[in-house]
Amino acid sequence: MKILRDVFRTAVILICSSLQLYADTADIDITGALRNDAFLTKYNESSEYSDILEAKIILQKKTENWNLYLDGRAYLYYGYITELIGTSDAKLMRGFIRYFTEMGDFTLGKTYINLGNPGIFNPFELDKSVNLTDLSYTKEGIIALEYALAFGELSGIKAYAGHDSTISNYTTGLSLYSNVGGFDFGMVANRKGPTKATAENEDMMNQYQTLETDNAARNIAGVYFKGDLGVGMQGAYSYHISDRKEQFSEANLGLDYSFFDGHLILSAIFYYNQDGTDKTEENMTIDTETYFSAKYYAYGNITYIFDEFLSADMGCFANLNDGSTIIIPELIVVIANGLIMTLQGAYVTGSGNQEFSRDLLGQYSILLRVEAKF
Amino acid sequence: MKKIILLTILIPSALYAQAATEIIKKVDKNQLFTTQRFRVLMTIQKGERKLIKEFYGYGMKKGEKAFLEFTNPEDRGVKYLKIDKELWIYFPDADDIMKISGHMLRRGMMGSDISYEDMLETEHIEKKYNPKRLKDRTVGGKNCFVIDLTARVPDAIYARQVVYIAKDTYVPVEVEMYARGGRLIKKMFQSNIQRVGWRHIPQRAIIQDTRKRNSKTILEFKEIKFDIAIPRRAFSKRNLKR
Repeated sequence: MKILRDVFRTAVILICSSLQLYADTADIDITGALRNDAFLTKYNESSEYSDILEAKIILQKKTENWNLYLDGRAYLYYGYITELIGTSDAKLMRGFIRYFTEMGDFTLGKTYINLGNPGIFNPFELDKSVNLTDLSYTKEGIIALEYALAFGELSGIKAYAGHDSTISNYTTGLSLYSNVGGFDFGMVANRKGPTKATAENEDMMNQYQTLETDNAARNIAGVYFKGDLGVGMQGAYSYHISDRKEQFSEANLGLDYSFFDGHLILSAIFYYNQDGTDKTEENMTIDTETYFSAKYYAYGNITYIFDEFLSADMGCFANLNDGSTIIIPELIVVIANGLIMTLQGAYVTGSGNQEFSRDLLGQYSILLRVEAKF
Repeated sequence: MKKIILLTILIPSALYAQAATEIIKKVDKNQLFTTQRFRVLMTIQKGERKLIKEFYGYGMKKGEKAFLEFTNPEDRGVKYLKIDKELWIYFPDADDIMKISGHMLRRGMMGSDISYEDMLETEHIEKKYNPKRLKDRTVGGKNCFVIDLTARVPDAIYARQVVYIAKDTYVPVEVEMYARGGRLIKKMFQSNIQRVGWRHIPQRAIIQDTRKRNSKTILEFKEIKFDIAIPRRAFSKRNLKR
């Protein structure tokens, strides 16, 4: 394993060096990061150790009329996690060309599509997978053509047509957005084509019996807003219409406020998914189309920024159907320019078949993250 | 007799107040603009530790608009758009735009001692504060007017400021900022004053948050231009994604 890791590190350094040489001549910006997550999970009878080493390389070229953006990641896994994922992985998170014209901006390639407010519990997000250790972790794009036309400084339309490689279907959508009285708001329509069984997802679809129920075109229409009246507020409502499933609603409402000139920040968001389950034994997070699987959730966060080098926060997801929670305290230390260390814990309160159950997720876990940006 | 005594007190006081207003008008005239473009090196320092950020930006007085883009490797491509009291941030990793709640404008920009409000403020001092002239002082070898500014509108960034203004250039060389309770919360020192066109502009500013120990933020202006043409689309969400 040590040899593999050394080879991996050497390869990353060599790739970076050669890319830098190329970039100097081709006027390409190169940035990136090397990040190591070491985490220990304590179960009732045992402990599991895992390590993820991630190398991120971003190449960008900007001209007056077009941009090129490539975000590639390479992962090396060690410990318990290799049983779930394997020993290494590489993926292109994003890779697109954006072309600017008087008639609008066109983006072609592997790009991230979001038609609503960014962040957790956004009903219009295509990929609703949750990385509990880093809620702002980059999500993989989809192959798509996106078109954006601005009507003014803060208004416009966005439209896209794409192919979602994870479930092998097509998706298309349209958003009309504007700003009135200090509030951003938008109207969204989105359509996802029928799910197609592929060699990769057939087993999973059979396992969760999704072929009969979900293998249908799904249409989503809704609205969202974000602004503030002293207290920051955001909300979204979407209505899902499917050929073979009952129609259902999905909504969120969030509030945020800060004290001591932004040193102490409080935020909370409530989420409702009518299609979610009330039964705790069915609570499982299995796909990218749902954040979690129950009907009601709340997420709360308290952040305290001591200074530019030290901050602490505590996030908490609560399944309001079964009462289970996962509490994630975190300490972030900026060691030096571009070098950040995070110490994070996770404590679950549920048990048995509850969603955030210590029997399923372990009693607690500790994560040490070191990230160097360049 | 009483009237005469009252007049002798009020007349010089009124003249003094008028002088304070005139001084602030000259400060405003010197530092405000129709449009501006700047490139800044920002050093956030705590004790021996330093974080270095670099950004460029432009601003427009009409509509209170500002745009910033960070260019240092760790934050490259992070962009800010401010229109009036609203702020949006673009994160290149996410390729998405996030609206920031108004209360967050008081937060330190990129963890510095300078808030988004401080950095992106484009409003006349005169519009937001009542000036009162105090006794002149010498600061850093410069003869200075001392003006006590008291907020007259609820959305003023600070409840009170005491500004030491160099008599020869009308540049505030030292500013003390106070919270509503009267507590001194920040100090700013401006130096290396150079002539840019007809204006006198400090090329270096040090901001200290007095609530933090051994902490300061240094802003060094690498380039600054005023009243230049700025593209129509510069202050737009669309430009954040360019």
